[in-house]
Amino acid sequence: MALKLDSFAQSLETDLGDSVLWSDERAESFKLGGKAPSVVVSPADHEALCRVLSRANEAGLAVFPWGGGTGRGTGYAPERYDVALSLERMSKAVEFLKDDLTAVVEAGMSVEDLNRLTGAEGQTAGLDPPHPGTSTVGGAIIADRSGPMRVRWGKARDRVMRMKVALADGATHTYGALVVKNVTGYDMNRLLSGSWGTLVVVTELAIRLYKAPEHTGARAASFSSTDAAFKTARALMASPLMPIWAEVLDDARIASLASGGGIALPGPVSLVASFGDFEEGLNDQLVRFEEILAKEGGDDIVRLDHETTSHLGRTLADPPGGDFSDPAVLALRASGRLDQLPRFAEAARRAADSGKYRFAISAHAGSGVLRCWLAPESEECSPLEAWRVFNSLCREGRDESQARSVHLRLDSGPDSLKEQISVWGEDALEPGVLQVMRNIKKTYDPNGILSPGRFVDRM
Amino acid sequence: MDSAGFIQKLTDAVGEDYIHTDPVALRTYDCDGLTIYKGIPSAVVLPETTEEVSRIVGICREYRVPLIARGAGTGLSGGATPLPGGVLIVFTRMNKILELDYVNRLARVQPGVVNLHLSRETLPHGFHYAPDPSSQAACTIGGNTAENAGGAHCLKYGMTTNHILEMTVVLPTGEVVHLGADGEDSPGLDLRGFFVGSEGTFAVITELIVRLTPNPESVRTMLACFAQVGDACRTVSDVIAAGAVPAAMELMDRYTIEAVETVVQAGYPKDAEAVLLIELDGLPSSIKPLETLIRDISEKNNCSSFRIAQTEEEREGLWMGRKKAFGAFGVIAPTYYCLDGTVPRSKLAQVLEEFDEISARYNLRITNVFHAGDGSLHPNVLFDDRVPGETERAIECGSEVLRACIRAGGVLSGEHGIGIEKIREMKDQFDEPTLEIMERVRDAIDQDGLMNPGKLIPDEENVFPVALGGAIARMGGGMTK
Repeated sequence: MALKLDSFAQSLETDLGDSVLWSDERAESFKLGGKAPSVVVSPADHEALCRVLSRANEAGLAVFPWGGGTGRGTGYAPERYDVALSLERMSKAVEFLKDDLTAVVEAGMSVEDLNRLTGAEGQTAGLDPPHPGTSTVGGAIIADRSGPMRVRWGKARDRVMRMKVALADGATHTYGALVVKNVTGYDMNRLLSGSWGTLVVVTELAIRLYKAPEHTGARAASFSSTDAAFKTARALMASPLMPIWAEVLDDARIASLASGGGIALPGPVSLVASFGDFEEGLNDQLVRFEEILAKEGGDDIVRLDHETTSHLGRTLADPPGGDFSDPAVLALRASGRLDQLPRFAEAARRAADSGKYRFAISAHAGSGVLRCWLAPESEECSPLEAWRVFNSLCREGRDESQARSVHLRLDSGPDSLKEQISVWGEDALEPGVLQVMRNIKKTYDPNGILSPGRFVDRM
Repeated sequence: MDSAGFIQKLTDAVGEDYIHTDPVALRTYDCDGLTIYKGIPSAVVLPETTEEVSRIVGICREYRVPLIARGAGTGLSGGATPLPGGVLIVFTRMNKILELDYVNRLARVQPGVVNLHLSRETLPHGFHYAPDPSSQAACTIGGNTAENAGGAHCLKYGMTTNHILEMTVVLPTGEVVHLGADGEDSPGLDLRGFFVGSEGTFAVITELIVRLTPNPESVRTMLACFAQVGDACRTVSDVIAAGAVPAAMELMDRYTIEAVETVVQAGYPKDAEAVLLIELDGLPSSIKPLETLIRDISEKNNCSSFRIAQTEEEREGLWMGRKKAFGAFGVIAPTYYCLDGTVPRSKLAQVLEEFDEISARYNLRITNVFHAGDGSLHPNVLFDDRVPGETERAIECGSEVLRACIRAGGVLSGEHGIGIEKIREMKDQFDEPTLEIMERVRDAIDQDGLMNPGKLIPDEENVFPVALGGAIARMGGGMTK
């Protein structure tokens, strides 16, 4: 291995000189699943990155592309890990076509920088991954990290108009165009969005933008149970109102948002939804949402102004801090039909009880996605037991097809647990589907150098 | 090949009443809405269940016979045109709505369900199925999914892909699998998203779970008329740049207005060079400021008149002109060739000028009626297929039009798909390595190359000859986007 790395380093120096930064001192900061890479390589541009890949491919070195590293907790430990390929130096805006509501940026640009760029013209990409100051646009797309705003703007992968990528052998491909409708050839952008760095390295993205609402506001109400809050959220989603996000939060999540002088929402369970519109439309939507809240038994209505709403929106995507940021915390996710959310919330509670954890819940109530965090309450806690209970209760009493349609994922947790479970929920996939995924992986990356072992089925 | 044995097995799979092998019956299925290319299949089968489709796929695999899926045959790019000798799977019998779940805002349907039938069923309950290709009274949801169909209202509501949650498909191996889930997330690669729009080259769709969208509370439809096409295009660009998202924004040029007014009298001013049909929907309080904004932008761009439909009857009248436009072209030419290149919205005026130049060069009239808000063009090359050589000239003219779209930073197809129609131009759109990876991915899924071969990616082995003398598009409405 050392020989391979030496030869890799020499060839890169000959090929590229200063356009690639080479660092082995920083390897510890790029750990994945307890494994550090041998080297961190930071190319300055697409061409240099292609050359890095080409040389790594020749040497058979395992490469993990890195954006902001905010998704590092997700997935299996690497099967092999030689090179961390950092996109930190590829973070520029390439083109901002404001009249076409399109931003073309390098993949290493942070989501916050993209928001700053587009916000100056009153536009938004509608991307809201956790930690937007660190998360990169490329990372948000390649991991399809879709936060609470997905109910209004769709999933992260829906934002992609065009993608420039480097293949494992260093070849360059560009898929899509700067148009909003496109059925020309296969939809490679959808295939690659959410592929977690296993098929290509994305280096540049054209992102579809929307006008940011001129006025925003939110309303929150307390409910005595998560079931009642979820039922109210379903009534909201069946109405003509168009929330930007609609979240159901339990008491622990409410407390985490309020800590340190944060935003106080009513408990024990809160449904909070935001809206954006022209002033008249916004006021109308807020009034009508209050009517829904009152009709469904919501209490203690809290009215949030534009600024507080924006602040809360930025915070909601993040995991709760405090005890819930401990490395031993289990971050679980379940997705299904909207009316399954109460079942998922109950599964989270019982998983926490049986595994001896404290828990916090936050659900994208308009999208059928529940996130929960389980923090160890004692040294006897059992992550495997907690996962088993969560898994079985989310799918309990359901036939094969219903169980298949419930998607579970361990967003982060101890590596020892990951060794024992299906981290990505791929146990619900049929063999034929997995085989198609494997065939596609083999086509794009025949030598298996891109993110080996981390993704679904350890491919 | 033991043809008799092959047909017998297909007969056993679907029952003798649901297989056609008679040459006269087969001719009924020799093309879709793109009638210039034709192919006679060896058999047409009409399965009733997913299991039957799986058996058909298995038999075709055993005998190495290509198979092609067909919904209503309304597609305009030849996606459902049979490869001669192949087996055509027709979904006429798989047309049931299996589940309507208003709590979760979704429906489970068979692929042969007609697009509009689903909305008719759900409208009284406060929901509709949003994708609305112009052929929605006839086209099927399975066909829409295979082509990732669009429609006038996808400006606001998105394409078919944004409304498909899960697909049951039969893989080329005959295996029945599910892609996606009835929630929004599913594990691994987004095969649901990747298979939508793959034009039947990966798998055969046998069931779908689709999103239902709440009905808008109010709708406002307006007509802005212009003395210059460029002004209408600038209005579109300015509306988009202002961040307004109408439900639909359709542009019709002078020739289209002339044809429409001759046939259906929609009330478009005959002296206008272009009209914009704009529809807003949503809460009345939300769309009122948009209405003012759009009127102001139209006036700034010199619109000669601007009117808002005051009654449902008036609204329907305005839309009638748009919906009948393609059929109305019959009064100005015997045949037309409808394309669907798409460009960035700021380039609309520029490409329409180029179309005029191409039109003059080929001495063929090009009319424009299109989804302007998406930059999704429908240039129509008008010609007379009875005149020797004019069909070929129309095809070449269309090819030039598509290249103009590519030069403007656009693409060959915004909603009709590539099929056979634009397969030549794929080499203008993509470089060799990109086409090659698409082909390799396709081979990775369909290793025997039996799923709708000769479509979407240039294929030297499966070339569809032009049926000389055949019209490119049928006359009459209802078959076009």
